Amino acid sequence: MKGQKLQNRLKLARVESDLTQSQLADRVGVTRQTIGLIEAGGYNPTLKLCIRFARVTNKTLDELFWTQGDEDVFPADKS
Amino acid sequence: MFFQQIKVDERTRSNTRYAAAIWLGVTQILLAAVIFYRLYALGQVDEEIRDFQAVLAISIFGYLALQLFLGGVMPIPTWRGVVLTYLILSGSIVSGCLAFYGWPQLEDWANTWLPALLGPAIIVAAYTLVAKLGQRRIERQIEDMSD
Repeated sequence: MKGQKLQNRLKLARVESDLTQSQLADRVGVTRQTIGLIEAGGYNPTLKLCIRFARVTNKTLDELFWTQGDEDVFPADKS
Repeated sequence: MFFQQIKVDERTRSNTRYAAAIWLGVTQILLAAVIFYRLYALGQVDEEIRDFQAVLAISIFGYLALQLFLGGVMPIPTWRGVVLTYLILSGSIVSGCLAFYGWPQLEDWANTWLPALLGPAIIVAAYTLVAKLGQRRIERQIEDMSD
């Protein structure tokens, strides 16, 4: 598990929810820069924040976040 | 409004902790450099830099102790382990010093025997205490959260 990069589809989910980075940041209580970094893969959010993202974007955690290599274990819709 | 309110989130908090840890290390290194400079470049005697030494020791050992305490996973040695560790530590210090400096003057015991025998005792006792308290803290935390 160590060294595995956390992948995410936060940007896609945000756009689907018709939210800007600032709006999403306000909804989940973080800064816009943090959203930008998470979307770019530069920061791994805590589970608490991941759950907030899932609630705001109406997605499951699994749909939003996964680690590299999970595609082989859970091949469903991680294309 | 002249100033925008600074927003703090988990990333900025984590960065603050990271910066604090790095800068603590830098401060400790600088403090050690000051001690060496005063000792060997300015030729000051040991007594003149005791305050710097004390601050550096408190900073390093306090940091390590807090890490051990908050981690709560350090193994707690048994009584036999404590005694054995103390004997090995003080034994190697005493034998090393005897081999290097020779047998000390008896009246100089406060600067020779005392630190060689008391120092390891304090280190072993402090480690055991911190490890025990740290584990107890975590176990209590788990118990409280399970209730």
